[in-house]
Amino acid sequence: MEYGKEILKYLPLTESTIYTLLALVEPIHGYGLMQRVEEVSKGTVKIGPGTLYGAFSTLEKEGLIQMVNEVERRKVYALTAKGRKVLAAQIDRLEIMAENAKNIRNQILE
Amino acid sequence: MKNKVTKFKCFWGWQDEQEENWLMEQARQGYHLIKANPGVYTFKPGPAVEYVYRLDYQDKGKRQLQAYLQLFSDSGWELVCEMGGWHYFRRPVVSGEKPEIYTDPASKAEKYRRLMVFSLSMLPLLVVSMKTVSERIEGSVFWLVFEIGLIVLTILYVVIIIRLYLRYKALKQQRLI
Repeated sequence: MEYGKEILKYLPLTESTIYTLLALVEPIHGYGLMQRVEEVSKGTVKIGPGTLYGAFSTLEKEGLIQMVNEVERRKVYALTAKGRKVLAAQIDRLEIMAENAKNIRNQILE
Repeated sequence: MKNKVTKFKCFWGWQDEQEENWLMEQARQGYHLIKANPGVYTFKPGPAVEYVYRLDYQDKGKRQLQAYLQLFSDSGWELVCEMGGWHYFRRPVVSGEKPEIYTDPASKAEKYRRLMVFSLSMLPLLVVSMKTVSERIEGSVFWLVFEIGLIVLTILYVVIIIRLYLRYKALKQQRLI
């Protein structure tokens, strides 16, 4: 799939932003997201509350996520249409990279 | 045993990590922070606890920070006190792990940028005050002393801004590979 400049300008995302956006496919609040990321990344990525709070405001400002609810002082966020496109474009890039990397990995471990 | 102990120490904005380490050392000796004021710290003596202390700088009002404080408390951080935008958080150390509140250099750099912007915003005020006071000196010792005080304060602010900028730049340049 082809993406426009307004989508591609965000790439490549950092590893922790990728995991953040992956968790935001469904509405989720901050602490839920921190737990989810640690779980699905098998403990390789941990996001601290200071980092996540900053990430939420940056991503919201860029229009990649939006607040969809507020439950007892916890803001619940989810991806916007633009956020979904950016994440999809990043996943495409990762697939190309993973394919290359897997081939090389087999070579270097022979 | 006294139920409050006061200690004195300077804290400059770029030394937040030293401040964290100092508080962790105090906790190991059984002194647990209750309140921080500029230069004056109040502790509650008790059994030694392995605490990890982390400082964050946020200059928004309490109401705007509700979601922020909730996020910290949900993830196990106790807000001990707040001093001029500095938020003192702590949690007990579990299995030797000392968690960070900032998990990448870029977001940590933002903390210093916020503090830098605040310090910069104070400079015009100081410059205007210096100019106003300088017009009043005319042999008055009171205004002369006042002016010298303002000059020292301004130099201090400039030093703080430079140190914060260096900290910010170093973090931004981390992880080039």
